[in-house]
Amino acid sequence: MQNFKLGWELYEAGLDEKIGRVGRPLPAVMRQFKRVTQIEDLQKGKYTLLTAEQGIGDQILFLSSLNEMLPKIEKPILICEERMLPILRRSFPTIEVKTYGFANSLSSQQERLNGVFPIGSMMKYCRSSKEDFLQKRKPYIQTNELKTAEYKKLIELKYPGKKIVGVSWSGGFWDRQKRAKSIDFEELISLMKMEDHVYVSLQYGDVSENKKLVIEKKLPMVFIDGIDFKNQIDEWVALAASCEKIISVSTALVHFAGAAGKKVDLILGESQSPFIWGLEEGNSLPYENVTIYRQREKEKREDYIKRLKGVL
Amino acid sequence: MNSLYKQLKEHLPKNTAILSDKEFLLINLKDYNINQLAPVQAILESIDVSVGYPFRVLLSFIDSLATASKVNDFNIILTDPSMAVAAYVAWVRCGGSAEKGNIFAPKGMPNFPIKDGIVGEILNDFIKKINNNPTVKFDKEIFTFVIGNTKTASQTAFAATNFKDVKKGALILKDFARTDAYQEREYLEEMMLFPTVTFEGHGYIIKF
Repeated sequence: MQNFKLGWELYEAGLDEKIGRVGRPLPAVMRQFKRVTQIEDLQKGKYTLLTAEQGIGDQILFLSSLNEMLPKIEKPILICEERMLPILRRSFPTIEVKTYGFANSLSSQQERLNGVFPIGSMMKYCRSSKEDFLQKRKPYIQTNELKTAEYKKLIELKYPGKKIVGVSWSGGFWDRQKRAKSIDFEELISLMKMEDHVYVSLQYGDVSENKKLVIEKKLPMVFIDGIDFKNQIDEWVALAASCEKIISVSTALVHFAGAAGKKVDLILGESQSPFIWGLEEGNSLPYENVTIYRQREKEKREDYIKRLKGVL
Repeated sequence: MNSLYKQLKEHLPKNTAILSDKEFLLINLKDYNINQLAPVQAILESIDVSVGYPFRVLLSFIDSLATASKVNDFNIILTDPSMAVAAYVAWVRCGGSAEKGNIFAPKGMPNFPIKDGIVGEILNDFIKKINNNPTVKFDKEIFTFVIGNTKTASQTAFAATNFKDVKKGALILKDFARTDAYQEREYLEEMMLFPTVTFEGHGYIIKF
């Protein structure tokens, strides 16, 4: 366990075409470029397209090593989805951050390029041991401070003097992930401290049923209308940053908030979870302020929820 | 950039894909293939240019043709400096560089923005390669784009004369089907050049 050196080495195998879509399929548009995964293969004077890969949470995790890698890459261009542009441009102001569409426009300009360097391949150079993670973890995502202040003011106006806590209760794309990455909304309600806290929904997707329940039960919970959390990432993270603390299941939100230095209580209901959270409880490896609360082996669900109630 | 979409989104139906800048808005409902126009959007954005729908279709056509041509070397002959952006799209997508590609254009090319990074590098190479000499002498054996419009008879004549002896290449004429461009069309016919006309009214001939 925690043999990251070997882990990242094996992770490179995920790029092999034989592994297919269960591995590390790069965005289709990036597959037309030569792939480079070793720093020593980069030629001087040429640009390198550092391409985002996997889900946006993984992308944020991988970008934890970007600032350390920049001195080793002469002309980097970070390529990402359009929705990630504002937050990544603010967080990494010294490099060009462009869209997949822009990368595509360079497909005939390959002589100027080293090729595509998937961001997951940076980790083997910077995070090859547990100590690397512990020593190097510090905030690297810059949130939109103006927006954060606006949201905070808005919530404080409605709920003066209350502690603002962000919540997210459902994540994952595949059904199996969803089971491991969700907590029942009723369970979440049971964790709420109604008297002195106000809760802010940071949950993406359809929350209409949850909203109905909140209104019915007159719970101190705020849903901010008009922001599409899936596409307006910068707004979403700015709202998250307006909270004193976040309680969340394992979703991209935890990565964004953790990388921005926010305090997060991470609820992991099952033993299955992304590798980066490990198998234990307590302080997380990649983000200093993310604390893991995991359902223990043989611990009954109701006991786990009761335990969470005492600590969150 | 404050796009049209940002200004109007509250009044528009919900949709899955939008392509927009300050002059242009395409909503992907059912009539247009947004992906056809999207690749050129990145190039336009990178040099701070916004254009309307008909010209964008022409640029997308040039983009596809240039990308597919896979040429080792190429010429671009521009008959009207106001279409400099079309020459730039062809240049980028053919792999234009300090070593590859030649551009002939009349005097009066617009100023391109000053850019850093890879876009700045490509733009610098493009600008350095522009040959404003009025006597156009080029290798007719290599792939040649002749890009123009039908604004004036002299521009059309210039385009046709240069394209006539090209072995491989494309003649691209913006607004070729414009009603009052009948003399220009007749001139091309006399030279045995019969462009295909697009829905937007542009004309093109491809020689391979």
